[in-house]
Amino acid sequence: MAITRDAIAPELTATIAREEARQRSFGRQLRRYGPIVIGALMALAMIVVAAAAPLLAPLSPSAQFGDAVLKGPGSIARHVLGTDEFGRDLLSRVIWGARVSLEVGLISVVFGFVIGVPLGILAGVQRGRTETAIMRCADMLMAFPTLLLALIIVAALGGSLVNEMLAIGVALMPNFVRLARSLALTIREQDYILAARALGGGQLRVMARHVFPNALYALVVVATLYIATAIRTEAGLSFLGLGVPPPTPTWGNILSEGRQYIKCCPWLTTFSGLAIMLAVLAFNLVGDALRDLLDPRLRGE
Amino acid sequence: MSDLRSRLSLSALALLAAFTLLALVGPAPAEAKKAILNIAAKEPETLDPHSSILGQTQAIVRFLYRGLTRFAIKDGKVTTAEVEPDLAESWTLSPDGTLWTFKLRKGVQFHKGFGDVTAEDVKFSFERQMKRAPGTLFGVNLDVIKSIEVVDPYTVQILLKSFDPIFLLRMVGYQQGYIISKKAVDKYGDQYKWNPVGSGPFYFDRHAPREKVVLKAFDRFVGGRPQVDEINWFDVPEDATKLIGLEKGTFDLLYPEAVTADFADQVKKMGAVLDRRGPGGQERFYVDMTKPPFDDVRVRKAFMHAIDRKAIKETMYPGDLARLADSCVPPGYFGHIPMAFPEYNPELAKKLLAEAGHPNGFTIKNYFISKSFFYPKVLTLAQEQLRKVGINVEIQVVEHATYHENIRKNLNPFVLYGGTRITDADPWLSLFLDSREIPNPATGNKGTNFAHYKGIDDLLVKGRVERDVKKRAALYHEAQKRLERDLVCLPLTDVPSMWARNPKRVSTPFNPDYGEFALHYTYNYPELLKVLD
Repeated sequence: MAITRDAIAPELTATIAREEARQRSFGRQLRRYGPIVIGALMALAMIVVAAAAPLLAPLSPSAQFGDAVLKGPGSIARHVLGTDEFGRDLLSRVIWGARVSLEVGLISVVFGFVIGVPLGILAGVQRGRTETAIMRCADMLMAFPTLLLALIIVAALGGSLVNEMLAIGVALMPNFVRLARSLALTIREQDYILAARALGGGQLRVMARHVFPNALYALVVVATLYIATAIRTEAGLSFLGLGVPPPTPTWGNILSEGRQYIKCCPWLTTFSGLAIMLAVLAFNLVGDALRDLLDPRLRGE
Repeated sequence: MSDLRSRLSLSALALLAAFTLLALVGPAPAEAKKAILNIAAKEPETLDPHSSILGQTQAIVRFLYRGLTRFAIKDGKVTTAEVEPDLAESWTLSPDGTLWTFKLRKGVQFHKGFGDVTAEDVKFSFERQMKRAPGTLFGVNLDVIKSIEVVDPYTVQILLKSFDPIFLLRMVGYQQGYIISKKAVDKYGDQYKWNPVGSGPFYFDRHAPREKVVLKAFDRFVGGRPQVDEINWFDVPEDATKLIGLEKGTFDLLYPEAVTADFADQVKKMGAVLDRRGPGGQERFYVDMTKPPFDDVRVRKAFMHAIDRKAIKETMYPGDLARLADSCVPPGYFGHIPMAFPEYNPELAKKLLAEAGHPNGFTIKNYFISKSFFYPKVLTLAQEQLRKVGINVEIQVVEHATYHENIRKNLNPFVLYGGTRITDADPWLSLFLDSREIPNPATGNKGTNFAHYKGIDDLLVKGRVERDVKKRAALYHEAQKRLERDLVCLPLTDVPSMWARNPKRVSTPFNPDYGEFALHYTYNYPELLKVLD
């Protein structure tokens, strides 16, 4: 009689199979939730750094040390990441720079969201001339790349934190308009909307109580992705000298000032560039993962 | 298969042979001989020499224009204290010291067939500035002139209001002294600024906006055709780009924004040299004494106590890259004496501000600063120092030309300024601290008395007619004492004009270390630059 594993220990085989399945699903879980966890942790870290900048930064971001001009990382113990052309501590500047990036990133997206979403829903639900008017305006804004549009607005208004948020918010707005409209177009055909209307729900009530909540998930996901875009755009504007005026440190202007010294002192561009990269990566990871999780077509993939 | 391969290798061989042949023949002989000088600088905004004080413009116009006199070469050095004949071959002064008669050198040609340089052109060049023709800026330097008479085509008489001790320095090819072609201005009118016609060693060929200005050797230049055939004056906005170009051989000469320690290090590392030209520029602050809160002398004093001049100097120009300035009239200028300035003392500054009614300091909004040269760097240093005593300066970074416009609209309560003038206290103080030079957008006065100072007019008037050298000097000493008291100017650093040069590509006959004194941020004798093979 042939001896098989099954014959000897059927329980063991079953255990192994269960274990394999568990591992497979753990791997799937990891693949599924890994990016969002990593991204969320990174984003959280960034928020903490920005919020606690005064506590975390070892020195004032604008304090100038005349005896430590353009010193490399580690060459002076006081300056872990080195110093810039004015002897300012790079680590402190990068930490404080997180504030501007995050402020602009979040507030401009909120701004774009708050203006863009109601307009998009209105267009999608109302249809007709209203829709045409709103959508053609959005198309006009869409014709410009985000950075270019923001640049035009900042150039016209002058560089300041508020203007920068405004400019990026306006530049992002058409994206929200379009998305909200397309969501509203689908939702308005649903039976529960018909039901709400049948119960005497006014246009505004339907939009606010029924269309908006059902579109919210998808909108939030996209908003998360646009935070990354906003951070990138802010860095771009600062890099071009159109952002927050000096001496306020932003990653973009550290990068821009460091560019002059890229040959002798590459740490200036390296660390500010890394900061931008990590921040953008963090929000992209979160946004992508959220989309995968919430998209029913991708569920279980 | 083998057939194809052999055909391929045959054609490859043929190609190789063709290339070898080409390499042996080399480029066309005309190409090989052409000596081209590539300069990385900034784009000039005009080539009319009388209407720009921008550094790059003053530097490039020296290649195009000449004056009646020029700075003398003595013991192989160019001085700025003595002159020798240039467009004028000789001159005489009447016994009463008011009538100058200049004999022009015959046969000196303007570029592009605009004919001889004549007395008519000399008269025209000075009178357009004296009449303050739109755009011209240096008329004040010619205010000593009463009238100009053309005696014959090669003789011009200039009658002064009274004796002028530095008249021959005013006639040097620099700012107001350049002679331009009357015919060309008549012909081109407003378009003259990009159709310049002078009598210098190079003539204007073309202008590719935002890219370069091309100059070509003038065959009939009075000093002989320069060795350099063609000059490409590139518009390069950043020093980092310029340095890479110098290392790669794209550029032969660099006109830097600011020579800081890292710039000097990089130049040295790549085997290039820094040509230092005295007396250089002085970087300084003028405080507008008419603008609150700076109309209070205590606030001006607090401002000066707040500025750490030594820290600015050492951060920007450590070691011998510059000297800490010691007077509102730079050293090397006739009439200079050392002055005392409020020492760096932030505590005292705060106290003075409190006394003047600003216990919590104050904020200056919309302070404009140029994004070029030393301006943004020095201002960033000063901004932090001022912040420590409670003076918050909210900066707006603008283009260099916009900066120059804005400070003449009195938009900045204190003005950072750098530059060089004729090396004598009279033109220096007359331009920067004479009440006639107070900028005023209403009247179109684009003067440079940013302090709005009126305190030394009487001394300047006396100095302009004083024939005794010692007494004249004493007047300017007195002027500096008054400035010490009134606290309207705070000099920071005296920085030599420096260009970086690739010595394997370009040679100059003068010593890199102060071998030349030049007022226009460049080589005083550009015709002596040589391109090496």
